[in-house]
Amino acid sequence: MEIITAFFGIIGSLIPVIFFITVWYWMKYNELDNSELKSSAKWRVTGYSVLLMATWFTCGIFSYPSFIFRPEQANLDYAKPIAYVAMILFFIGFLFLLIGERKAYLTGKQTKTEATKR
Amino acid sequence: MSTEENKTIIRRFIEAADTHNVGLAVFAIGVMDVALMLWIPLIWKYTFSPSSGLLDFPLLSASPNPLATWLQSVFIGAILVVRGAFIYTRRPKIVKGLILTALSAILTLISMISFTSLDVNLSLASFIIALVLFVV
Repeated sequence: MEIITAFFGIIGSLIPVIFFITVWYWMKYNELDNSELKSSAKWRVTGYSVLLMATWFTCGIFSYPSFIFRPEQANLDYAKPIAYVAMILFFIGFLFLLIGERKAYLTGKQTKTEATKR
Repeated sequence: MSTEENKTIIRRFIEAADTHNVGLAVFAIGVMDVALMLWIPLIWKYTFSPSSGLLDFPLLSASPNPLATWLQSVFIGAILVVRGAFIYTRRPKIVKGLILTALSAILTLISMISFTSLDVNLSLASFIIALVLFVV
């Protein structure tokens, strides 16, 4: 199977665009929302940004500077640490998403309990 | 002008600064960083110079360390955009937000520069500190 570099280049550069638009809408939403859910949204957006960093590191395994798919240019000195850091970042990113969702759930639960008491 | 007067002027300037505008400015710098170091080099490569490497893009090749400049684009772009959004939503105070953003960006840059010279330990340590400052 041939590697079409333009495919990776175009989709890879679109990912940060989507991320920036996501942060933009998160920022605008926070302006409108004053509830406790803002805290959970902060955890989530931080998680997304760590996942973006992990994705960028993963890109570094296949493209600059590791070129793992091109044996004539491949540089394992870069590829190995990048692989470790990418994995750690994926873990941290998903952990932040978990914390964000848990905070959202607990806040929603507390709000519902308070409403029932009234 | 005395030091006290300078401090008063700086304090007044900070108080007058609108968090929305400061946040948007930091956000915009992040987007510009990614545009200049990632999107424009990619467009240049695939439309004008397919035979060249990405790091041959004039702006990147003019850098003392083109690889670190290329690598930092998304990291520092993400840091500036998210911290700009934090400042915009008035989570941290403007000064605290700007200091944390600058420290985080500088440490990421140090991490990338040490990574390109294969100093993995320093790179990892500075990246972790940058990440912590980014999250705070």
